[in-house]
Amino acid sequence: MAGGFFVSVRDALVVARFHLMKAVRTRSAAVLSIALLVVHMGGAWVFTEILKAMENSAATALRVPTTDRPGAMLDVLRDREDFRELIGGLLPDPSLMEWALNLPYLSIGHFWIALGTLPFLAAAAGAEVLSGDIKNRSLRYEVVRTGRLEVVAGRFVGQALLVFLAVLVANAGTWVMAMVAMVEQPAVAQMSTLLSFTPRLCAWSLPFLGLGIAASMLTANPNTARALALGGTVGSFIGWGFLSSREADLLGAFAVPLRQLLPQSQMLALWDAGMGWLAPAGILVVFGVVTTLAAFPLFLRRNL
Amino acid sequence: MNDVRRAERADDALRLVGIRKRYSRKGPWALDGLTCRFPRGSVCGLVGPNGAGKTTMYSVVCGILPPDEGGVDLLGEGPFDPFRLKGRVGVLPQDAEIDDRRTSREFLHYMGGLQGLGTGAAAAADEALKAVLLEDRADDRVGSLSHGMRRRLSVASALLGSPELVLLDEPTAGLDPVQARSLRQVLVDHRGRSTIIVSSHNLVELERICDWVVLIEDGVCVQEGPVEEVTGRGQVVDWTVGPGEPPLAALREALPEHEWSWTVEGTGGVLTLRAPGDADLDTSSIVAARILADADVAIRGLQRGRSLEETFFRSETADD
Repeated sequence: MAGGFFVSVRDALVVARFHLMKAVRTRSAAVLSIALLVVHMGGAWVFTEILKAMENSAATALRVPTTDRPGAMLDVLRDREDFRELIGGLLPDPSLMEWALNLPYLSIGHFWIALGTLPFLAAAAGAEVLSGDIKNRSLRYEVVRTGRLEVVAGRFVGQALLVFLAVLVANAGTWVMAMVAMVEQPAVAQMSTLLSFTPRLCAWSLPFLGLGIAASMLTANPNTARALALGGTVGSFIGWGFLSSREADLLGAFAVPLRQLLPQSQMLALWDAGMGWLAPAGILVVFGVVTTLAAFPLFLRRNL
Repeated sequence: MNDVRRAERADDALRLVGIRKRYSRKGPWALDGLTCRFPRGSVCGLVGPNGAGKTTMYSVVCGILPPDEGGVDLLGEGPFDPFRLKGRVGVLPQDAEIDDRRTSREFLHYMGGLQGLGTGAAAAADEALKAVLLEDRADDRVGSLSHGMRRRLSVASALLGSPELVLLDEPTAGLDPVQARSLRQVLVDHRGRSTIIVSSHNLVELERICDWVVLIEDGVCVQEGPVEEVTGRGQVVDWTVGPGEPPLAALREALPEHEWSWTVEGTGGVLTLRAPGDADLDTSSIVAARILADADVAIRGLQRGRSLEETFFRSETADD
């Protein structure tokens, strides 16, 4: 950063604050939050329906009354093979599965849904960060007052905070579904579990947010930037799927290092009972910074 | 900062030396060795036809575009650096839009924050809004402002915090005469507090407010200097006289060190007096007026120097 560390950090924070406030006032914050909220509430509803079906199956076997709102028989479900297979399918590691079986179940579904949806929403949100302002040249007001790196860093931070707020909204949606659609759910434990997942999810979103911001540096057209960002995100999942399959053997010794270059390599490591998730989260932050800066050399020379 | 010695001329707010810039490798040069200077404390006009390179010059000066060759020196600090010159240079970029959804005050507050004004940003924003007569629209969203008001808001952002150097690219473009006049007044009021460099196609406007002018064409400087000098206001007087011819012999005898020329127009003509650099043009004019009156030649009009517009067109014609 060109202006001395503290001046650069101060400028980046000024940009971040303005960018966040701008996003909160415009539809971009609302769209991101509502999209996450709908996906998470919908996902939570599907999960409660699965739990209901399992509970009613268990109730029929035990010859007790069935229910419209699951939750009362979770202790029974915990020992049933079909339920353990369901959770085991989500968390292949046996020790992780045992830990997860003691969590409020909707939190597990919430976390998986977020792992699947956040990359796309973050990439799409990131694609709006600079391209529109390049198009209408409003960035000129900023770059004659501070460095381009500070502008990009500030907008990255502002957008990351926006994702954080959207995840909090999604948390609230899942929590409401747990309280409304299920019975005997521990309100505080449910919320604290959701909150404990929040920083992990934010870290998970950063590489894709960075991808979106990098795309927005490349083009003045927000739609093109969005297509590039979403294409890159889809590509990363396809690449991950390929590198995780047997076909990756064709790449020989390169398969494993190539997998490590994808953010998905940190996905399972984010599930951790203790503080072990901090290391993969840190790696994801680095991924986020690297993807953001990938297009910076071009942005630096660009006629804004 | 290749060939410009920093602070070589401490009395210059901005110096450009041999700036060359083109937008593509094989494209024409937008700036083709532009060398010019803008003295500190002056209101400077940057004049040139469309495509002369004015906006490119602004972009190079304020770091939006890197030059291909040459050097820029702002305020004796070398080329533009947003940190080294933080808060010292205000810029009105051409065609840059302001976010519609923020209020005028919020926009300026943000700009002030980036300029490092800190807690003083709010007060500076209010002062700048007052200067451009927008204080009563301070809390209105930018989207609700007219084109002219937005332009004034942009000018306010350039004047924010009273920077030492203010670069305004076409500040009155698209404004109606009333708004243009009020904006011109803002710049006149700011005279003495900052060096102001303003580009405009309205040469009458520039002539009114500027005391230094730089004419550029095809990316090079064709003329620069005090407005009085460039327009010849300190050396040249045109007398529209007639009917009849002026007594040229008597005039040359009375003021031998002056140049005289006579152009016939209708029954009269235009008598042009060009005084040497050290002559007092007022005294010369009085002497000449007496000789014309003694010869019973009627003086129908008098103009000191050329208008900036005329100077500009003469320069254009000479190039053609």
